[in-house]
Amino acid sequence: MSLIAPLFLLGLGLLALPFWLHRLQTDDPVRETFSSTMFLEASQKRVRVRKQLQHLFLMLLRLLFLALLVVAFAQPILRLDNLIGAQTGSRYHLIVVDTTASISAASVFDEIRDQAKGIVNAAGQDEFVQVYQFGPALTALTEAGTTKQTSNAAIDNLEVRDVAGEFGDLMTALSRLDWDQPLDYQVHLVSDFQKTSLPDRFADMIPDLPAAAQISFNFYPATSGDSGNWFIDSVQEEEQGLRINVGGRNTSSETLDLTVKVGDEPESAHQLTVTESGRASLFVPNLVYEAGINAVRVEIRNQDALAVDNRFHLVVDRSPPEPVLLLTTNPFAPAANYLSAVMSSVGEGVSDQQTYRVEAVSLSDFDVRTLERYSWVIVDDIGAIDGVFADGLTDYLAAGGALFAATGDQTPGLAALPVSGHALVSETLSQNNQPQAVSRVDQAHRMLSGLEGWSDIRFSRAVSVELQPEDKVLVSLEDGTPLLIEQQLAQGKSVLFASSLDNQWNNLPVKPLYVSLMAQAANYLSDADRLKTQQYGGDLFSLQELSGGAGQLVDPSGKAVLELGSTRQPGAYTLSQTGFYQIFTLAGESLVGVNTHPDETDLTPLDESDFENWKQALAGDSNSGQQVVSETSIVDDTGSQREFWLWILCGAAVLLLLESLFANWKIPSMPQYGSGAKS
Amino acid sequence: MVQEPQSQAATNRSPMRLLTPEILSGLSNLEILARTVVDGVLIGLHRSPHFGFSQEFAEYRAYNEGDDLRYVDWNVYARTGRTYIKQFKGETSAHLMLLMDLSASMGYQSKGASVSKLMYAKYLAASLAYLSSQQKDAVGLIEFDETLRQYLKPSSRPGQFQAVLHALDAAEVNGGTEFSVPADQMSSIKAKRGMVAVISDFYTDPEKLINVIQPLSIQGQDLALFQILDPHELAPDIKHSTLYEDAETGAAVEVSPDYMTKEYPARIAAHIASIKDAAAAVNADHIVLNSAEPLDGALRRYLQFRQRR
Repeated sequence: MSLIAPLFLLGLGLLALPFWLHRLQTDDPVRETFSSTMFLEASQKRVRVRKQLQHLFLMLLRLLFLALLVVAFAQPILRLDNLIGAQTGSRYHLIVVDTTASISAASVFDEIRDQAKGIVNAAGQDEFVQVYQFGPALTALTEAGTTKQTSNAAIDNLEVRDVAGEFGDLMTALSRLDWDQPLDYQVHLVSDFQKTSLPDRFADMIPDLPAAAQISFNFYPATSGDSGNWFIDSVQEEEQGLRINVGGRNTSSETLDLTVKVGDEPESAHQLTVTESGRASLFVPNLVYEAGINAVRVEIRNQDALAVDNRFHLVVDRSPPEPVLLLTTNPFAPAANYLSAVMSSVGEGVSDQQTYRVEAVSLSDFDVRTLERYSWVIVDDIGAIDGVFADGLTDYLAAGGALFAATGDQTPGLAALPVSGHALVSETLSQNNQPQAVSRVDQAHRMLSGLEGWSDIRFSRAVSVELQPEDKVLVSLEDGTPLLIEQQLAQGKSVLFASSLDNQWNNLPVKPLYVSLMAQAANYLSDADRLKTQQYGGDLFSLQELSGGAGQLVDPSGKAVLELGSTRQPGAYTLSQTGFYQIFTLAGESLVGVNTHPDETDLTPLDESDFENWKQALAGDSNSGQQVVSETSIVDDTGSQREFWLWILCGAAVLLLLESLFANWKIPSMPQYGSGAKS
Repeated sequence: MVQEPQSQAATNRSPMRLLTPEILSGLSNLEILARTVVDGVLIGLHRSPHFGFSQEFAEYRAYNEGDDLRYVDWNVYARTGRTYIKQFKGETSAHLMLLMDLSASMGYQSKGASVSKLMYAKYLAASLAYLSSQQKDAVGLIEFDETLRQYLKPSSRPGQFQAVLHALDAAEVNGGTEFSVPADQMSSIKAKRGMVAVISDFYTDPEKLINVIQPLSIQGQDLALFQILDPHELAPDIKHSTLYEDAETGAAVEVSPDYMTKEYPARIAAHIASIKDAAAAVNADHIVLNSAEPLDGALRRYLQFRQRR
């Protein structure tokens, strides 16, 4: 632990306690003789805070005691060594242990831990050791300069996580460490050095280190040998069943036993023959899903080098279509028909895609109080809603709802649009009676990304509104008229389409773009596209991006991952286990299937040539000669520093004894109070 | 007859009002102190309180219905045709027994007070003794705490007053209070009918007090209870929490200023009232004396008390 560690600083806060206590004064009573106490009644003692400290020597003893206690827990001796080391240029061993999913193959993990502990124990008494964990990020497990015992304990407590790691990321992380101390840095990389962990560019394998720093890299490869490994490459939902793709590396031709389990239903057994180091596919038909979200587990039962990639977790959504409210002046008008047809096709046949069902309701028939039943709402002519309806929509948006509003025949005559409050500038008609095309599309926006076909759309009529400061223009016409405007309204969001949703003002409804645009708008406004139900181990997950923001994440072992206070805090959580993560948000319960990253299933180590190139590059990049160490030597000496710990604690105990003696001697005991009744 | 309004007005004009306990404490001789106090009080009254039926003529007054016809001056009636009653200076054979509480609580003297309750009691007892000796009354003294400390048999012989003063002068406080001690002593000596002045702070159970002094009342003794209290006991004024140790039991109680200024005065007032009720129950007179105030008020009350007997 460092002296500037938060816990130590917290401990230092204890020093304020004596200062406070020594200002407290129990109302020290004036002692007097009285004729008779038969009419007196003992009063409650009062405590006052004085301006001046009292019993200074006693306070000093207490301060020293607390300081020693805090300092002892902060391991100051090691910090002292660190300072000495900084002056003498002693060695600083930075041990990076790979804990990605592939490490669990065969006996690699045990070998890696032995290697790491060997480095720790081989370090000299005046040398420093710090243990890091790699995958996917570089995480310090110990403070710089902790004892060998602590370092070994940290290594013993290491756990393989179902995550992927890349050496390019590792080198980038190493570049960001502080190399400013005048030390002889020894970076020890303990890994299985998978070939798939190489970055796309070889240059990324070379860290950007200070030129003046003396840094050597040492490699400790641990491999699983030539053990064969089966893996499930992917599982796809098809129209009539599941398609399971299996592969093997360093494997012989073999018939694999597979099981498929849907939810809590009994698992079904299947067999699949895979050729030598080949791939094969199995189709499992007639699976029965329950309504809602289904967790599908596929597993290879055959033993192999790496077990974690023998399982695959798929989320199949069989939730009923989500109702989408279309508020229209005429439910039988072309706009309603177009929308109904488009929305019913969204998500069809896609396992992790939300499906929708349009409920077209006449504005005059709709009770605005029922708006909260819908996650988002479409209004085909925003100019047709009255004031009461506008207030209801505004409240709905303020509470987190979403609105897709188009304009229609009743819009142009207004001074300002209801709900959004946009002032109407004019009705834009085509220039020279020629329809206008789209000139700018914000392709980076989630609602518009990947959409094609804008060039086919022509607009003969549109309304022009005066933009508000927070408006985001997503699509503009050739004359600069904003066509698609996003507006954030309190917790909700509104998208204004400045033309009509039928084919009277434009030809959008009869073009393929209309389908994809409305599909993405639906997913965007309902936040259905936020949750990716299939993820790889090591991917980042953020509750903030989900609807409502707050929620809880439960990992595959059933443990709540986020603390209550973290549920609303921004930041991402690394999905470090394979299996099904449960997500509980205001919008309901969801599942995320997390599977082993494909890179981790390939246990093939780096080619000798790649390895050599890397070593040479590192040696050329660092100032000192690079050393490659492959064997370990055990040095077991952890003695004197622990003894000094005891001395500190003994000193604290002595101070405590002195404090007690001095307090008993200095502070007179109070008299025994009794009844004042006179006998 | 002594009329209260007149005497009060006279007292207000009296130089005795200056004889505060603080001044009296400067008088080391109890006799001088007693003379000073008593004579001053009497001068201030402008009429002798020594009315009785002794041989020394005092004055005439008009006959009122119910007066004893034996004291009508028939010679005056013969000369004037009016009936007058002759009054003479009192010549009594009454006894005055002083019962002096010497318990430790009587030694209490608050900060700022000029005398302790004991000294105030001594002044009072000396003054009463002097007054009685001037009347040729027999004066006796019982000093007690939990035990009988001193007993002087009532006597009117010359030198008795000096003996009482000597005993008072030597008195010191100690121990607790036990009122049955002087009561038993009074019973054992079969004291003649007379007046009994009990001087104490009366920190005792009123019920118990009634039981103790009731026999004295039954014996025909006229009882006067002089309850002497320090001003701090009547109206304490403390700024900080105070740890009070009982002068007699040693028990300590820490009290807050709030309690002493709000609750305690009510409690001590209730106790005084209960002592007063106890006194009334045995037909005794109860006089509360503040040890910071002049003695003349106490003496006037005593004289009124005597007058009623």
